[in-house]
Amino acid sequence: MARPTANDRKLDYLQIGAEIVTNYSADEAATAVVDALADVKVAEVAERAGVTKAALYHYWPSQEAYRKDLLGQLLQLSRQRGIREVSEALGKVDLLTENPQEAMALQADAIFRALKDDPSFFARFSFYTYADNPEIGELLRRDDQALTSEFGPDIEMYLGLIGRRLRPPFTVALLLTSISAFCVGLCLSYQTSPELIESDTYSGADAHSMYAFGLDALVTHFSEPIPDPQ
Amino acid sequence: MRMARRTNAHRKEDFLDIGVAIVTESLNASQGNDGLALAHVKITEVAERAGVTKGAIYHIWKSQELYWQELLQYLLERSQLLGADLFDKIAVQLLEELQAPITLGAYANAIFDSVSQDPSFFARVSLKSYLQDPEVRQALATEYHETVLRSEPVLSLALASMQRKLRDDSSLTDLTVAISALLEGICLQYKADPASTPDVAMQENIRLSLFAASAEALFLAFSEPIDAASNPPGLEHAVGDTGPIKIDLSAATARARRNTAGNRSA
Repeated sequence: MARPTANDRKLDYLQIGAEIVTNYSADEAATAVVDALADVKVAEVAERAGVTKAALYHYWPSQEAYRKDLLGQLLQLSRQRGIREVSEALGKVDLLTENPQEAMALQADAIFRALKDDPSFFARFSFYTYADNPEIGELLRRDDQALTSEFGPDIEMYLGLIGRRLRPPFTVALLLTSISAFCVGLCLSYQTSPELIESDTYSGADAHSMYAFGLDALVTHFSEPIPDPQ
Repeated sequence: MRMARRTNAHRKEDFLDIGVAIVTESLNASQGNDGLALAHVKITEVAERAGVTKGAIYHIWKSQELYWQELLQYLLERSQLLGADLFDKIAVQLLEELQAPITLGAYANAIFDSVSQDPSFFARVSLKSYLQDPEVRQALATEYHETVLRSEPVLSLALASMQRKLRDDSSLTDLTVAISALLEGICLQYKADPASTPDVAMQENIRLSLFAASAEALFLAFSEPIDAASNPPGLEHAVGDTGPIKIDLSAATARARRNTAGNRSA
């Protein structure tokens, strides 16, 4: 074989990097530290806060410990943002008992509007690569459970208002998982192709977001009318 | 100083808020944070795998950051992370493994199983943290449009086998966009916690994944029965009483074979 040129070598090194990215295994992820926040340095945080680094190390034993809490904060923020938008949407319209379906669609629109280009929401996507790391996995799971406990009662109340109940084997947790997965997926697609997500060709597009449309579809499919007591 | 009077918990919060601001700025900056999604690719490891010294690599790239920048470029050029032909590959594989015709539910399950186990899918999602880079955005948008385009015929077949047609006020693209969003979202959910996306039902050896069950909800919402008087079957074999629907994917698969063969020779 001919001696590789400098350019060949360069391509080799890039190819190795590409393989690490495309074949990143669960085992490798399990031992990774929270590198994705590597550019957030305790020194810079201290400088911006106008304190010494020691002041930060008073709260966190290491830079890694700080970054782990920071990830938790990023996850929590996007969730709170969604909740705040929901309460604002509900504050504007007192529809919940009058027209629950319209109220739910407005809530869904508000959540989608809030999340579709929220940077702290998007920061989370670089962490799925490391989801097999026990600590990061734990943070992602905790965020998920918080979602269920915060929205679970709302969904059950809503089903009651529209005279429906969950249809076995579906559960509140499964319905919420699907609904939130659909929201995440739409937000991701919206980032590159907003024109496809804000299409005006699907049913109900004139009134509501595709998220509201899909949410209604999932709620309907996972539930059944409460039978008449007679 | 205002900060000095705050409680410990508040101060901790202040420090975390600053971190959030730094991350948010890097996501908004035109020069993104290259370490965000490629941070696990370390020059040390590249050198080790290449059997050279770190110095040999630093000879080409002055810093880890410069290596990441070029790696990102390389990944985009090679389309190594772009998965437009993934569904085609699944169709080919399924047809080889199973006896055709297969059920729609089984096809949906297979797509979920395949994507949720595919590291390059998650790597592609993590590239979304580089969307401020116009090249990244363009590459991901092109790939996304291609995926939608290639998935449309399969979804069209699926509708036909359910004896349904699109509602007058819906398009095939809308349905495809919605189903693919659902797939991405559920796969991410699976990655964060596999226990949160259990199979919905397993009856008479027929499995229904959460993705298949949720996709059916979208199918139903975007479409209507071809014959309004009949009660067409769904793909929920386990909870319905219509039994499995057989769909013939051979047309889609033949096309898929051509596509994947074309990619290999390209």
